Amino acid sequence: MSWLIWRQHRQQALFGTATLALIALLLLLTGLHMHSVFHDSGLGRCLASSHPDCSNLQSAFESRFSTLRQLVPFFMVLPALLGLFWGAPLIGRELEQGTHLFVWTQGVTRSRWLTSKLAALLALTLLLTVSYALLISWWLGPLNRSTGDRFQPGIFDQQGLVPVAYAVFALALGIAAGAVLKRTMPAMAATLVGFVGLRLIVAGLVRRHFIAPVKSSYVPLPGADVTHPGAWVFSQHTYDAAGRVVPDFDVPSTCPPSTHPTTAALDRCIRAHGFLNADVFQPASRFWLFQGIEAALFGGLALALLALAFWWVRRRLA
Amino acid sequence: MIGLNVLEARGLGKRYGDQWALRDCTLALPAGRVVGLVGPNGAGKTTLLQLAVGMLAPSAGEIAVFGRDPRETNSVLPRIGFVAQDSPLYRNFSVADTLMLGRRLNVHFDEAWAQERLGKLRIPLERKVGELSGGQRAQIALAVALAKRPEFLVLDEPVASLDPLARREFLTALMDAVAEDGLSVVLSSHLLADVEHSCDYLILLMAAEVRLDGDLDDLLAAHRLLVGPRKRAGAGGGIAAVVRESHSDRQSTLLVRTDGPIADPAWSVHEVDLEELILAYMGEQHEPRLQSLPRLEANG
Repeated sequence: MSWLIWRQHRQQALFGTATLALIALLLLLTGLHMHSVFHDSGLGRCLASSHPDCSNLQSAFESRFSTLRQLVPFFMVLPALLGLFWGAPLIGRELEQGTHLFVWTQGVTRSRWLTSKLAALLALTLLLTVSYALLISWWLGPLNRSTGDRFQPGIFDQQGLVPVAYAVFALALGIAAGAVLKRTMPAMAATLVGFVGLRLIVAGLVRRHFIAPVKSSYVPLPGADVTHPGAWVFSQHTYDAAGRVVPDFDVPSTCPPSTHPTTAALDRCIRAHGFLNADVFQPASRFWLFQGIEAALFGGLALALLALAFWWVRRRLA
Repeated sequence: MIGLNVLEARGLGKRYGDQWALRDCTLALPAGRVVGLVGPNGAGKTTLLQLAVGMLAPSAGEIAVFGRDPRETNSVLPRIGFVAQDSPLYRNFSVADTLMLGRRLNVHFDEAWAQERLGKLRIPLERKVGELSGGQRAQIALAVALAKRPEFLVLDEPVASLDPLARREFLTALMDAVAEDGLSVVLSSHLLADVEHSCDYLILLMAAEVRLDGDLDDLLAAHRLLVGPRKRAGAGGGIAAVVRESHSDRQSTLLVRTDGPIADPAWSVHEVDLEELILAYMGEQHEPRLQSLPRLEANG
């Protein structure tokens, strides 16, 4: 089988590896530069200190690398390409051209044929995407630390575990679609629609509900600003004593610092009016937990799709 | 199971949705024969052959090849050579790659023999399969199937897409191989001529059902064409069944299955040829009756 797999998929494998090598080269060169700027400008040291005000350093750093950063979202289509060009033809093209009748009637059963192909394709996919995920996570490190927004939708999706899970999912979706639809082009179309659709639904609607968000309430005293660095903030509202949402400038306009010269007087006024801030968010500490849940979700779906492909090949195509 | 039969089927059926592609098929194919599977397009020939090689699973009944379920492919597949309709091969493989595939995917594969065979046919090994003619592709597919040294060779419309010359070359090559190895063969065709020249056993499939099967000579010996004055005929007096009858104003022509000498001297008795026999069975249900005649009871 290994000879056949190499003979049939070497082009795909070489093309995929070359694409990744090119991306890796780009990331390595720009990443090394970015890391050295991050450290040499003193931003790294500043962010590591206990009470940082590094806003000047941060904005200089972020504006310098903003163009590069806008490049990374394009890499999010890579898993879809795996599904389209590796996954969909795997069974779909065999069925379309009738060659399954040739290859499944040699001395190797269709189950072993499929197992061997899946093992090889999955191994290569994992090798490539794990390398990519490690590299892109390293690359994004300084930007993550400077902007603190790695939990935001769209940025969360570019790093950590999830790129690997997306790729495996796209591959499995393409394979299953090829088996069920029996034609390459429709399977490619279904894979594209299914992958993009599910990614958007999970990122936009499902992910925020993985775990109930944290809700923290506090009196909006001046100088006691509460921030949630690195968190995924859903809402930050100010409520009056009646529990209605009010604009946050109601607090200084009701209790203006000019008429309340001391901090104590100001505090008394704000407490007396019953102002309360409530923040709803996923804390930064949940980043890896969310990565794990999303990776498990897509990985689980991938397993289910591969099981479907197996069942289809063994039962429905018989 | 009985060792003499290479393939046995009992009540075998295959359904797609509510449509039966093959139904209630009971067969026993003796080993060492060249079996022609004939019938019009859509009669279920491909379905039966794919059931025989384990590509399809039965919806009803059972099928055994070498006494085993052909889907237990580990034990059956290595003993079967199969060429599907239109000889599907990987078009982007070279001929040599195709033979290499055969060697890598089979326990027994006589690659040298296949190379030599294709060399004799002047098929260049380094060429891409997709660049070759349909006849050459069919020869490659046959070479791969035969290089497995199978005991049972299953060919689905092997010559359907070939021109007459390539067709004859293919069948000649096939018959040489059969004579050499004494293997069992089933080949399907919708052309009688292919079967007549190469087969010694016949299965006729019509509308998903087996209409006729048996040794070719036995079948021909058991049927007679009767011509005589216009009259009806039923079973008895040597007639086991009337397969087909046609009547003109004065004369009746019957094709009958016999179970003894024809007793009624009014009939002149003729031997049938394969084409008459098969057309009689194929036309049995579809032949429009003459309108001018009162309805005659068919007794087939």
